Amino acid sequence: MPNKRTNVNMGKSFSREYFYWSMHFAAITVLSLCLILTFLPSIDKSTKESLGLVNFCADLLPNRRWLLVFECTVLMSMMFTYMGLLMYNEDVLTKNLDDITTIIDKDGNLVITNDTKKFIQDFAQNETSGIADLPIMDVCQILYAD
Amino acid sequence: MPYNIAMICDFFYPQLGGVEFHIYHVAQKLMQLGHSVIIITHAYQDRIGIRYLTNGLKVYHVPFLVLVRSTTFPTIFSSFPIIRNILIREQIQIVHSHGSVSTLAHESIVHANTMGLRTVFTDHSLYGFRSLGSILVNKLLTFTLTNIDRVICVSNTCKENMIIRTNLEPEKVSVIPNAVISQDFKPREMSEKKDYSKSITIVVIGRLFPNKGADLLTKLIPKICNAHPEIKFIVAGDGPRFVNFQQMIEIFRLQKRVELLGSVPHENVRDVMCKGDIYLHASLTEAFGTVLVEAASCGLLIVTTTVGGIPEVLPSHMTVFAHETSVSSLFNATNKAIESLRSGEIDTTTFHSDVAQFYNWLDVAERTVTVYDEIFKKSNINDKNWIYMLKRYYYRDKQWSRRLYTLCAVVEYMLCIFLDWFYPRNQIDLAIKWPCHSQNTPSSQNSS
Repeated sequence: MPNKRTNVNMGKSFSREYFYWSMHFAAITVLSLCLILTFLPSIDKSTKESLGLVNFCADLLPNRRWLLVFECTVLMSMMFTYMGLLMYNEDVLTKNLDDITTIIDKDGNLVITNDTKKFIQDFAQNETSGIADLPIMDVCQILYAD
Repeated sequence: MPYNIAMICDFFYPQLGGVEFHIYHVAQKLMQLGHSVIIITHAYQDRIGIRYLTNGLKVYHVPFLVLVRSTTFPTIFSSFPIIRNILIREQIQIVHSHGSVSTLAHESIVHANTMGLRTVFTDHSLYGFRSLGSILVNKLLTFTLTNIDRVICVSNTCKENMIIRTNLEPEKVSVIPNAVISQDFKPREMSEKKDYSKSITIVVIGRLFPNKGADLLTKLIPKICNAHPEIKFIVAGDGPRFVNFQQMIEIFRLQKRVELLGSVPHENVRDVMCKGDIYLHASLTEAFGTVLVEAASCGLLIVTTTVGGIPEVLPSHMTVFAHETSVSSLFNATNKAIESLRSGEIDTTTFHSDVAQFYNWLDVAERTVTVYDEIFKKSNINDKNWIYMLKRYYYRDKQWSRRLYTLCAVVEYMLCIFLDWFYPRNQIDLAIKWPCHSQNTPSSQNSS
């Protein structure tokens, strides 16, 4: 019923559209203002008096130093986040090689049978509809012992 | 030709859900077809490192900082070293990522493209265009899918949604639906035909979220109970609207007629479904709706809204559609379903065998392999050329984003050069592949 659906949409308000458009506009304005302010040449003290209107406008703008400090902080904090994340993943979250959790865990659903033939047929060479782990010893035997 | 495939997604076992099961079953069936498959996901609590599942399916649980809802911290670059190492170690040819909110999936597409590997992406859900979250996800998708070889969607609606969201060439997108294991969803054994005039049970299963239609249900259930005194409800699932269901039961005094089960594990869903005769689905958005297929497989008549990909999922004789997502429309549809059950014009006993014929995972895997074959057949020498990829990034989107995309791509290339020098390829050990078995050829599986 496509025509019915369009009828439903007819009465909708466009407040979200207005909201996002104003967000878009604000973001673009702030971003371009920041860029302009960053790359504006600094005014020399000797020529400051002779500039008139430009000088007046430049005085109205916030101090450029703060913007540069802010931008540098953002850039450096990004770098620190990348390095920190790398180190956190590698040094805190990664377990030691002899840690027990590298081979077993509480969510694991280990397949344990004494019958080798049944193990090979039903589990090692066949899928189960629920998820089940193969024990590490048997995996090593299959992979590395011929 | 057998491929080495890496399935990459943030969501996998021990978390349970549609995407997780999809990955698991497709991987298992691909292995049955003779391909080698590994799964890469992030670590879940103490499930960390490498696990082998049945049939030798290797799962890498990579330690990553998890940000929110089991999605890793998005940085684009920081997963490159470990993903590169795994992809080289396993001699991967195709990287197959799943899920558009999975950071790991996005990042590994970019990494694999940079390394010159073929990439496939499967999307499992529909997204809007109006909230800030979906705008950001769509931008990210636009970036990562710039140099993708193929995209798979679970339904035609999902495909359309995908093309609109990311401005992708339609010929790159294939539709492959989900499937169910029909043996796990057998209908109840009936000794004699049930007398529907005495009692009918309606089952509702799903997380009780607003987008799953929980608010519609809290208004609909009292209305149906009022109109039909012999009808009972079973509601399974948990979520933020659970309290509203409890309140509804209190207010309308439906304690004896509405049974709230709370969250039900996936292996018990079949037993819950088999207690009912009608399955009621009031979802407001749905890409595919695997639960509908499961319910039909259990022999339930389906009453559902027509949102998203739902109308594609089942043939019309199994379903009664409510054409509007409103209480009155759903109420009329439910009445119609009750009438047709009582008059006996619908025979639900054939549903199970029909569904088993329509949906099985082996079929899904075979169609996925066709997609893989096509990638190599239609490949171009410039597909993974760095300069050409950069050019595609540059002509991809609007003013700001395309410059950002290009910048990210250049940094990624520099990282790749650095890693090739710092961890040379020839110093990475190659993993031993699980011994392939020849007795499970596709034809013998079809007959079983």
